[in-house]
Amino acid sequence: MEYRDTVALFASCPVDLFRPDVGFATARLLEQAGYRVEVPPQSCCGQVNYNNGDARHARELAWQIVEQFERYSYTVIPSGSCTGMITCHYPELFANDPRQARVSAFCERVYELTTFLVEVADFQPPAALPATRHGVVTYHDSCAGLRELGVKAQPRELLRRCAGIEVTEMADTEVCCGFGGTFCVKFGNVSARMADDKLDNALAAGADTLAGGDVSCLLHLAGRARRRGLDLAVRHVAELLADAGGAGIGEASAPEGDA
Amino acid sequence: MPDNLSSTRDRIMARIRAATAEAPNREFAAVLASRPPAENLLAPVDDPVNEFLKRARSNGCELIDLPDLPELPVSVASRLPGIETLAADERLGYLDWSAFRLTDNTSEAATGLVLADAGIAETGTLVFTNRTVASSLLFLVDHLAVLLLLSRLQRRQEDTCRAIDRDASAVHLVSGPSRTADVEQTIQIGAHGPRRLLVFVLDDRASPVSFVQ
Amino acid sequence: MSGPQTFIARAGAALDDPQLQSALARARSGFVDKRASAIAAEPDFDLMRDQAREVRQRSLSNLAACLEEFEQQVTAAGGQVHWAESTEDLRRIVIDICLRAGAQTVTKGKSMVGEEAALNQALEQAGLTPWETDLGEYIIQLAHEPPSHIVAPALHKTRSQIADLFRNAHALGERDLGEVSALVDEARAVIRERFLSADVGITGANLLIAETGTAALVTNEGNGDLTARLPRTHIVTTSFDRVVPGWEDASKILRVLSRSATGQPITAYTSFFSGPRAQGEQDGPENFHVVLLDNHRTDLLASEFREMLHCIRCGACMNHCPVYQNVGGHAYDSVYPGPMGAVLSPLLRGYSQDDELPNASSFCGRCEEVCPVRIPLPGLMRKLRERETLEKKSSWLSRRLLAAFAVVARKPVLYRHLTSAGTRLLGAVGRRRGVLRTVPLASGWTRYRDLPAPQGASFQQRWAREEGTKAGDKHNA
Repeated sequence: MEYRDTVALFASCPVDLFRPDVGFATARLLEQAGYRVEVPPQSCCGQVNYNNGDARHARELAWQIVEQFERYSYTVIPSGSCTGMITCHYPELFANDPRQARVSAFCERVYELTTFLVEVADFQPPAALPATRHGVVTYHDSCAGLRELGVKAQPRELLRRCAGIEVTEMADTEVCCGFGGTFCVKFGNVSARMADDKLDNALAAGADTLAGGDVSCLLHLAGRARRRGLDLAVRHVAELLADAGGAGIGEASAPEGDA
Repeated sequence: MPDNLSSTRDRIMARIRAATAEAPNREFAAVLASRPPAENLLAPVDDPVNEFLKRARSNGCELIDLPDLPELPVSVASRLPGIETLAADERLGYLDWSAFRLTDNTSEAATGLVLADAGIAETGTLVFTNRTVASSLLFLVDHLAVLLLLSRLQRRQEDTCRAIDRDASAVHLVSGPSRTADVEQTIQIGAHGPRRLLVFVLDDRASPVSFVQ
Repeated sequence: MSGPQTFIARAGAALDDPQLQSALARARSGFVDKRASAIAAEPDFDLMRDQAREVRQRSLSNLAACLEEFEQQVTAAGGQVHWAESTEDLRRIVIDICLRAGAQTVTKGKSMVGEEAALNQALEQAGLTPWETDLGEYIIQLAHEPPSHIVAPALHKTRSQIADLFRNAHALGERDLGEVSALVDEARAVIRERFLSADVGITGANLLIAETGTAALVTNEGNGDLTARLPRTHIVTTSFDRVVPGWEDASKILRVLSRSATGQPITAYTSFFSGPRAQGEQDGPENFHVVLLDNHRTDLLASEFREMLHCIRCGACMNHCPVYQNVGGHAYDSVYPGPMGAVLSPLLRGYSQDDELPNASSFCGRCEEVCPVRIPLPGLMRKLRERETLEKKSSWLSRRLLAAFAVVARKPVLYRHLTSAGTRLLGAVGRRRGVLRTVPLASGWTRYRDLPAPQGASFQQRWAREEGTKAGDKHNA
């Protein structure tokens, strides 16, 4: 098979640690779109340090990412938050630093997954997926993807194209779910209320599945949904697009032996 | 002024100068002149009369088309039945107000009648200065009736700044009846000022009306 | 206000207060929907924002020239400009003017600088009687509470709470205050008498215009005008950063202010006051004073936080903030709540407990998205967090944890081994339920939500394994 190009996959910590399925789904989608996928050694993009007032360490981690990934034509990330950290904040982080030009040149080739699939790859699925599997799907617009990157139409377009899913919009879909990195542990009471608003809106829209583009937000929402005993599946959009089976986030996996 | 106050001023100004090293000693005239190119980049107000009417109506004004100036007393009477006492702008005093009792005491009068110095199409706004109209007349009456001459209608706020006597100690832009939303976000008309704002619109563009000041 | 000492405790109390929650729910849809429809009706809104931002930048860059002109023009018109370095200066100057005017009663329009300086208490201590005239300010004056919003000070009060306050303060007899209109009429009647009898009127200013020495005031109720024009003395309490060069510049700000604040293209009243009543004028005060407060704003001007002085006090950031929407303004324990307050309060006050405020944000970015002058509020909050770290004011543990995390994350191979061991362990424990109810050292997470169990080995570990298998297959073939 002739590849169009090679793409570096940056999984993001939440995917790497909690939801490898999303990484594999991403790789599958990129392959289907005609790209060879490589996964260079990686850790955190630096956002945790950056947002908690530790720019020095954030810069060190950022530079490591640049060095590991800059040789690829594209870096693709199944997360609006980490992509926004790189494309919007790395240049700020290296302001007044001789490395800034190199950093900026790298940042221009970093894409959030659904944006890459729609705008660069013009992804056409190999075969339509069964739309019924996930019931009524609503999509939560995670903040960084929405506001820093303009991710809004792309996941909806892909869901329509790949699985014939018309997203059922909930109220306040653009309002934060309350994750916010360390915010969710430092201000747990406020964060939980924000999650409840989001989950209640999803249920009020009649959703069976709450989809999103950031596993971090989805871990928080799924964790809160489980704590409240709500009947709502939570999944990353890449899982829906790649028809990954398995349990939703925070749901019991299939019986023993599936390891 | 006592010394300690003037030195407070000097200390604050010195800090400001130090903080704004980009323009520490610029002349004010140069600052005014450094405004970006004068042409207004906003979409032009193509039809100022209709724009004014549309905006004023949505601001809660009652609009009355006045065919002719001498008709004003009759028109006011028909729109405000039962009103007897009128605090009228002296420039309009020469009209036939025999059906009303005129008063100078704005605080007890039920209805004020004033001539607008200008109108602003962009926002459906009426403009007054206290060179011609007492501020208290605009705010203490229960109902405010305004005569707007279309020859005085400006397209935008910027045009209005140039057209009015802005050296007056008070310039009032009035865009609707007094209102508040301080109780449960519910809009309630008639907070402290007029409960009704009636605008009598006279098209004098072909034959301008003049008033003896 | 005495109460819980931390944001999180105040927020907790707010989340559990059903009256407050019902007031906040109402405000949420009110402000957000009204602004959205005002902006939908204005295709040029983004251009308007750019113009307003340009005015704010140019005004601050040329602040010295603007203020000198402003002062000269006020003086030429027969008014007086006073400079207050601190809120204490401001209180003293205002009381001095009142006492020299022989005043006993003072009507007040809404002034955030007046709130910042806690002016009412000082006036009372000086033997004066301050009467708030803005309905929202009047309500919180009766309740002896600080404002919870910079545009709608009594946003946290429900109709029945307001009725109770009026019942306690006014001689109502059997009058029914069930309807909003009855409450507004009641306040109108009581406050009308005060407008007519007050000796001094104190208002704030939304803008100062240098070229004519003018204070501009934006209201819907008309209380500001009655406060400014009826008493013999008008005092404007504001801060020097409100100044813009000319009237055309003021137009640019006004165009975005009320659209962002209340969703109106313009408020019912926008008034421009320049000096005392001049000869030949119909009415107006005999004395006109403008008190300009610094209170650390010159420090902001010189710092990386200068953009915070661009703020035009519309309140859109708090109206759209999901944290503010859920906890209300009092949780911030400052007259400036919400995102703008989370930046401004620590910079103006320097209280150590304010360090919490810039952290109480999920960085969702909605505040920056709606700010009419495009202040990068999350960016400024992040800078405050950085300052907290640099000054070593954040907790030792949190700084050590961040540093330790960075050390591990800088070694991807170590990171992969350590994390994968952790995820496999957690995954094994949580597999049956899919979630973990409690996790040692992660109570911050698990107090409010379950932790979804990791799927087993980390993505990198599994990927390397599968690639290895593939490579092996190729080799064998």
